[in-house]
Amino acid sequence: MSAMTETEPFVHPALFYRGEREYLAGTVPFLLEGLDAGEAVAVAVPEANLELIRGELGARAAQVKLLDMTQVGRNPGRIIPRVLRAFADAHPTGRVRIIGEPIWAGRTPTEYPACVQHEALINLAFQGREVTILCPYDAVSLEETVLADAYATHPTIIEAGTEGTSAAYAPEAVISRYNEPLRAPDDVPQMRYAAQTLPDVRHYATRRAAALGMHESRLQDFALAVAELTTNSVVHGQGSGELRVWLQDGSVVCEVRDAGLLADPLAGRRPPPPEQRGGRGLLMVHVLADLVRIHTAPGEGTTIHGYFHC
Amino acid sequence: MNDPHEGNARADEAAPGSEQLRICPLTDRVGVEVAGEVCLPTHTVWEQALERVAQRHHGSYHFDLSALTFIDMAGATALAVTAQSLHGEQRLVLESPPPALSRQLELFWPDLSAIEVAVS
Repeated sequence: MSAMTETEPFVHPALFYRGEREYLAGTVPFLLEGLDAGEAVAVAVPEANLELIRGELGARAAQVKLLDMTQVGRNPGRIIPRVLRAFADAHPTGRVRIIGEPIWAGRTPTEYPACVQHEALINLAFQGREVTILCPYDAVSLEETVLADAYATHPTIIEAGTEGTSAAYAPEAVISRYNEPLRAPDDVPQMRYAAQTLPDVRHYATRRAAALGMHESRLQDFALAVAELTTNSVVHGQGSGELRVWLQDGSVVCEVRDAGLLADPLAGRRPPPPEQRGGRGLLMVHVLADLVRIHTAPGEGTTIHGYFHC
Repeated sequence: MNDPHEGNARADEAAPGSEQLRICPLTDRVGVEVAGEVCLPTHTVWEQALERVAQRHHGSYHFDLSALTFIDMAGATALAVTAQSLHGEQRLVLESPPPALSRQLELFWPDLSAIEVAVS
């Protein structure tokens, strides 16, 4: 145990791996160590890597919760509440050990800012908790800038079998740097809304989504997400906002813009206790959407883009 | 659909909250029929109906939800919180709830034994 883990129980190393051999050497002994110590152990990584781990674990794979991160973590905004906290909260006694790989080579430039913000937010979300989350990074396929960001979002880095402290660790700076302004295409019509027109804006958005090709089975999800975002505008964003809906790369995108400030960086990422009245709207949007991008700044208000695959 | 002028909210579509949600007593069992939408403009009406349920002390209370076309997260939360406050044999029976409501309840209150879902 290092001095750091004695003061801060949350441990969050990045594992830079080159090839399958390094991947397995960095992950499987880590998992077995957890199992031998009687810890609850989970793995959420892309399917090909999941199969590698499953094969290497053999019969002991049955003791590990194995999840395909491209499914459960497709929207990085739901990984903290629905994957990491869901598992950690289900095992409240003793240390919990998780491998989470939210950033892979196929992540798009639109997804990436949300992914790196998620990595930074893990540090805030698990502060003080007896949890270890190891995040593998494919050092061969990922760009240098992505690896540089991993130094800022992880207090320790493991590379070629050696663990070192990251001097560049600065999660708040990452959250702020990737708080990028969001814009809809110029020709997209907008609809303004306030409390009494919330049903209208939801109907309008849903009709637009249907006309843009969204499958009927997705429309209810979309309507609920639009309702939560626009209601948040009315309740927290000075009473009104503007909505736009358009098609982009096979996804229907919904933009909600208002004058409010989303001051809590973990908003929508904390699973609320069952008896709590509020605090589920944005979390529900993270569950329903395939990607959520957020920009919020004093004087500029808040803009949220929700992406829904058709 | 792509007409930018559709971007203006039309007053004739914006009915006051009470007209968007109708709650009527059932005639053949204890409970109510809920028709329309539960959203911010209709929350007060919805929560008043739920308060009346919480004041009952025995047995099952039925919600015929076959004509409920939409319920937001706050509306689902109010329903779940009401169910959590029930005692003893009291329970809420949801008849034909919209799939989105079942999903909201499963996601956030998977162990809520005071809610029963009946699909007719």
